Amino acid sequence: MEYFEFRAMNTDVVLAADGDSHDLACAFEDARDLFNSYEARLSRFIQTSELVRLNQSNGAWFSASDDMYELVKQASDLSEASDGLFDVTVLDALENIGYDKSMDEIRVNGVTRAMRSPRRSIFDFGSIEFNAPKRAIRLVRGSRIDLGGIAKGWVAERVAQRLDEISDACAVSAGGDMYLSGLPQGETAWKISLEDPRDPERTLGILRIPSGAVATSSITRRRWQQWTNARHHLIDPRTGLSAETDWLSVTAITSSAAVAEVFAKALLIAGSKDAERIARRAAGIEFIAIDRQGKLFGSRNAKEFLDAAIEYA
Amino acid sequence: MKFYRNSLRLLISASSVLALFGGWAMFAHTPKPAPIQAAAPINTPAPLDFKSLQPSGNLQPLPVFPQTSSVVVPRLRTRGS
Repeated sequence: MEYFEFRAMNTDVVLAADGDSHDLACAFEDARDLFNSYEARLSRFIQTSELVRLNQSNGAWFSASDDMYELVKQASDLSEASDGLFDVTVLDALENIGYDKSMDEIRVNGVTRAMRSPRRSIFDFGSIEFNAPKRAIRLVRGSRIDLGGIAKGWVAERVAQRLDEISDACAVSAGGDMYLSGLPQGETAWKISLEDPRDPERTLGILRIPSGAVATSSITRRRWQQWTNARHHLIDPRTGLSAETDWLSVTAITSSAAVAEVFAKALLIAGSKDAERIARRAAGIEFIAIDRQGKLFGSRNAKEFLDAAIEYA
Repeated sequence: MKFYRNSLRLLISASSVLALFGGWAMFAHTPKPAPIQAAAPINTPAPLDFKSLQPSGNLQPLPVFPQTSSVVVPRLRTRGS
């Protein structure tokens, strides 16, 4: 198995593939270019990106690229499927709690923006219009969207499809949102470390995933202080503030990376009280949640994916 | 006319004094902003002070096995965005 790691989309990307070393070296470079190209189009932090231009469309119809149209439409459909717990129109709320620059920049310079008032995005997906024949999108005037919650998984799946053309088996992980294609040589599943959200150096278990998508959402990685308040990046669209949940992370397993990423977020926001209801809204979703004590909880068939859970002394 | 002018002067003076003390009281109760340098490092989780909720009975607690030296930690990790 050959590995290639780099940084893109403000996260660590890991590529893994079986195949001819020389072919894979070229394919890995192409994959990195593809990541960079998607980032240049989908990032809200790059002022020339297509997303920034869409957000500046100010209520007019925006002629989108096929990729942008497909991604926003899928996000719209998944927002409904998650009962509104996933919502890309929370950008105002995200910026309001200080996430108005990239996490890399916040890590270096801290948060400079004070919260104006607790508020949620006043727009929702019902107010985004799509014109399929013209591939056009219209946001309500003043509404802006952030694709950070869905784009990494979506891009990982596309890059994996490209890598799959020259490899026997491949995996693409963008900050833990991953897509797995084929099986590693001599194996019956991909082995994935289940990271302890309380300590990224520790592993709580080993997952065995045959193929498909795995995505994890956590409230312990992207955290910061906004004056005296602790914040994290997972916005609850019902309040416009960092979600209050009894879980620290949720890992979702399904066939599509974008769906896994959206439901990992929605299930984490829902917490133990509401997760089962949310999971029932999507066919074929299994999930593993980790609480503050490091205990693991799972959906009905999640045990099948857990090869070993590790208990630290 | 003179009475009206004096009343107006008195009203303006009283309003100014009230506004001064009102503003003073408001600023005195505003939390002092922390310096940017005081922001917690991102890798150190900030204290969690969210409500503690009990897991519902229908979720499956997953089995835990003792850690052994034979466990090889795979390079692909769930991380969490």
